[in-house]
Amino acid sequence: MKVFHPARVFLVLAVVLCAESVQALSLWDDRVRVNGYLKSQFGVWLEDQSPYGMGDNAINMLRGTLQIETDVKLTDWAKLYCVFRGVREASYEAEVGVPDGFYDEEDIREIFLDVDVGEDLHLRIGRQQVVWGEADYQLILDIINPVDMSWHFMLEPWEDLRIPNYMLHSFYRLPFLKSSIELIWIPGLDDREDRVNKLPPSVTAIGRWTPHPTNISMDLPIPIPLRQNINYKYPNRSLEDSNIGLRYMFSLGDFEFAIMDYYTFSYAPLPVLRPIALPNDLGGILDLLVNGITIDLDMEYPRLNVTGASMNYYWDWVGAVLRLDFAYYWDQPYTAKQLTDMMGTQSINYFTIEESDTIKYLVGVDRPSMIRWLNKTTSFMIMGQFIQTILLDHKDNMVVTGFDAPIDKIQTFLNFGVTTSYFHAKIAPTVGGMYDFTGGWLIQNSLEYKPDNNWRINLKSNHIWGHSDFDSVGLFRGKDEFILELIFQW
Amino acid sequence: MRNSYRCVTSTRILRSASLLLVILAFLFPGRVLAERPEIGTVIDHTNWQKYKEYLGTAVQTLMEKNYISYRIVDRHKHMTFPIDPWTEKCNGQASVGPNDELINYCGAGVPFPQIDLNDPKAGAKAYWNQDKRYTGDTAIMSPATVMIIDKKGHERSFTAEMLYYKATERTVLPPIPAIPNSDTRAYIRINTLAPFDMKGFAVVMDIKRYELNLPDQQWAYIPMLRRVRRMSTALKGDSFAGTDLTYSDSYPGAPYEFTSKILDFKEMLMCAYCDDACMRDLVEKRQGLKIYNIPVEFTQIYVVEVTPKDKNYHYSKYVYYLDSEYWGIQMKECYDLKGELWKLQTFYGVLGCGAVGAAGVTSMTDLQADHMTFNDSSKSYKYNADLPEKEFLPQRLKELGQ
Repeated sequence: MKVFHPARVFLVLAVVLCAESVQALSLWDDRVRVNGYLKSQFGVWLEDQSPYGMGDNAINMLRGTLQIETDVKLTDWAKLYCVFRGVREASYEAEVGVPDGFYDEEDIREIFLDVDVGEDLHLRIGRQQVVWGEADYQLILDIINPVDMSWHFMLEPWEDLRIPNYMLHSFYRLPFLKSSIELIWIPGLDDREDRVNKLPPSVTAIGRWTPHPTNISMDLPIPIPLRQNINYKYPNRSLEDSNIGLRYMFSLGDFEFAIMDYYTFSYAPLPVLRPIALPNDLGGILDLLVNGITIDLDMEYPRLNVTGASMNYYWDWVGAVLRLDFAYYWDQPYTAKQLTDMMGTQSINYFTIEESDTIKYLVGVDRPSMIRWLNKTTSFMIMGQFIQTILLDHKDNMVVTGFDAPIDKIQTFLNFGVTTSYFHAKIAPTVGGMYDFTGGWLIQNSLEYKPDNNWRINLKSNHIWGHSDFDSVGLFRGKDEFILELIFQW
Repeated sequence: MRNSYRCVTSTRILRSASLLLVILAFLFPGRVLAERPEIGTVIDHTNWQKYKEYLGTAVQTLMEKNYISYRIVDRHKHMTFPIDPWTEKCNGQASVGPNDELINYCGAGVPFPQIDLNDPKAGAKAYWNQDKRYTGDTAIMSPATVMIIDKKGHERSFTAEMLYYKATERTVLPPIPAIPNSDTRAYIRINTLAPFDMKGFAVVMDIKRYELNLPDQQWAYIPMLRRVRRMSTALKGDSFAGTDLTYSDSYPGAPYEFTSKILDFKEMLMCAYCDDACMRDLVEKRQGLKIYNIPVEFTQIYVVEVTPKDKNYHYSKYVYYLDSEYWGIQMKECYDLKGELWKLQTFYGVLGCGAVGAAGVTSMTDLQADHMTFNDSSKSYKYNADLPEKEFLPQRLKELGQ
């Protein structure tokens, strides 16, 4: 358990509270601006987590974040941008086996140089985030950076969850069709584990956002001690393991289009568990009983190529913006279970990888609407997005990674959101979420209060249902929570 | 020619007005004959009723609440602007059509430098004139600070860089008078610099040429999404970033979408000229909602009532106070859907910045809620800077976004 220093915390709070109004630090004739925030997040579970193998402590988040951003205007055509993020989290009684400091950070999260090269070429070089596509809740074409879902699933803004990578990002404007070309090259300078998604601790520990305990039984006929030898096969720091993306954007009338291709890796690990060979003779079995068996589990991140397109259009007649995303994942890898006959019984004996071309698409609408009897001055922004994933080469043995739960050939989701603000944007309520047509829900509510330029107070609640504990958002069923955020920004 | 005509017209009007005042004074003693104050007079909540003929309706309300006071200064000298030659050259060409549309406009300048008050289209002509007033071909205001102030004086603010680019009615920067083969009338780009949770938010508005009848377009870079999003421009009555302003307060729409009527043409007290020192003084001495000692001068004003033809418009009407010499908007009153006076937008010293109607300091006061949005762009403004059109492309938002 880490030790907090109340005196230091009190000192920081006293300084912050005494400050009447704190603004960005401006240096060198405003060519350098430094600002940021201090954020404290306190969360509790709304449901008992002990059925899911966790301890009974209801606190699920006690996280402090310091983020400092620096903008440096070097010349009229060159700027430097840098983001530092430091995070400290408490240790949680509810978690099992998660090492102290697992969620902590002290990191130059982003640092990049923006350069205008001539009239039409713009370069951004350094550690950064890049977002493509139109989808909000789900990552269809927004797949340039991996994400960190270890500390709060997907319930924070993606901006705070993406893992920035070192890359060369160029924009080149073309004179026809108001078009431009965007090129991305991730040469692999990052730490190897930063090239893929960071997931909650699993296998040997239970984090607060670890999915439910697996329903897989190895069905070994005799009690044999198991040792796990996990080998993460992250992309290498080599040119061969670069990621490359190309996007062409253009306008036809009031329609805006983008077509893209991104050569990357599967950012989600796929476990490969080789067949467990049991000895046939008595001596071998006795040896196993004494020494146990070592399971070699390879976590693989296979290569992946994604081709896609997106479109948006402002439809004036209905006052709405229409959005489309279409992505074709070539040979998308999935976990597949293999049933074998072991000592006369059928068991899941090992996992392997099967591939399927996969289509993901989105049709979305955003429409601001004045509902004067609810809000006289400010509109309600209403958003809806229909999303489907279709596995073209679906196989019956494809399962959710880590579970004996089949993957559907067609998965359908509806994302939605409504937001407005009252009292001159001092109070902003938001309701949003995702409906999984298999019967799952994820609802996010928030109420933000902005009393002045420095303080922000957010009350949030997240609610998750699922038709099963082992399917889609059902993997997190029961993890309803209430969050209080206090932010001091300058 | 233009000034002499205006003198003749003004003299006739003043004579008629004087006669009328004498008659009315007999009928309604004590109500009509407002005293013309001397230069140097301070008008505040103690004496405003003596001079109310020189004050706009909303200003009288603010005086009564002791939110503002005026100090009368000398009339500023006449200024020339780059559109004046176009106004002279094209004088007499333009007309207003049956649906209040502008016909035969020659591309730049004020289309109707003389207005006959008996002309049934006089209101539409005055409204077209303010639409075509000189605002510079480009403008950069950086930083501009927008303060949101409640009746207790509590303030929040945001700071932004504001860029403006005219694609039509250009008189200084080539190509003149318009960008060829463009359906754009003007672009606006706003990049928010502070506070932290608004930092990086940027928006580009593409205001389409009226005659094409195309919907305006808008894109926003949303830092939390790290993405440029196409935005709907349907709701012009939506509050802009929590301020008292709506999107339409900058661009209410084409003048032919409104019915305009001249209510009055008279001498009024307006903060018509305010140089850098004057603007700094206004900014520094403001106390919450209260702004005292505003320098005002006698200005010939067209009071124009502007009623939207669209019954779903968010205001029932506007009343504009237009400077008859430069056609700048000195003040604009907005009426709610019940017909009650709701807001007053004031442009302090529209001539002080070097362009008309793009004042360095403006305010929008909600008279019903006692709330105000105060915009201070006086620290740094620059007109007719060589600003390339590419700065207003949606792709540029992406390039600049963090």
